[in-house]
Amino acid sequence: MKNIVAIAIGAFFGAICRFFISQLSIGSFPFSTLFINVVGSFVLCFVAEITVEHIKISTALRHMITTGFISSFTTFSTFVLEIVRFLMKGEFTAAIVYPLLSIVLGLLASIFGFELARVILERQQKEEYEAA
Amino acid sequence: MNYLIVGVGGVIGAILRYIVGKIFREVMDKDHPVATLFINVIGSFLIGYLSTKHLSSEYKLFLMIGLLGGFTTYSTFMLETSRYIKREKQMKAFIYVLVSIIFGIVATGVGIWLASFV
Repeated sequence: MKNIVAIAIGAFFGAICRFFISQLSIGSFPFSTLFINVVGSFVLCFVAEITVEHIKISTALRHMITTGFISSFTTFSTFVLEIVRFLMKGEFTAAIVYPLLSIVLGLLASIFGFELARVILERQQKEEYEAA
Repeated sequence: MNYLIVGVGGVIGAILRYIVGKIFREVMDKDHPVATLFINVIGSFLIGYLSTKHLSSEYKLFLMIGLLGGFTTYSTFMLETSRYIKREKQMKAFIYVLVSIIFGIVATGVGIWLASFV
């Protein structure tokens, strides 16, 4: 029950942040969804790695950030709907470029999130070792 | 007011995602991202169906932006894919991405098509 409440709080703000950013979009290319999904992928991987490896936070807080906020902030259904809309309008270049950009940038952001967490943890461990 | 509608939709979507994920984890091997795939494909089908329906803007915000936006997730999809890559399972990563996007597009298309009948 504690987890569900935590997820609900995170998801409430995650969805609102996504809606806010989506309203800033200009032009027909879905840059806002792309931005949301790439940034969310980076943050999720960073948080997942850093909390599992070293920084101990409660399960509920972890759920609030990851399962709640970040997962609700990013979206797959809107992403796919945007691709389908490009296809229905006959804009095939955009229908290929958009998912390709989302995947490549999303994966780069994810790996960057993992690596950044690793670098921070290694530095911290080194400092602890030197202090000891 | 619109923000509140989207936020509440997001809460319901996220809790449903958590429950579906939990059910999958209980019946399946932990390593497979089948739960995320299932969630994203179902969500894509529903957003396709709703996208052509004549609903009030409040309902569209609640169901499409809030509920389905919160139910489906892109970040977990990317986390799972990059974990495959980190473990040198490039083929699995490639198949997972391809299946997610193709099934997602087809599901949305089926949703749109079905909406013209039902």
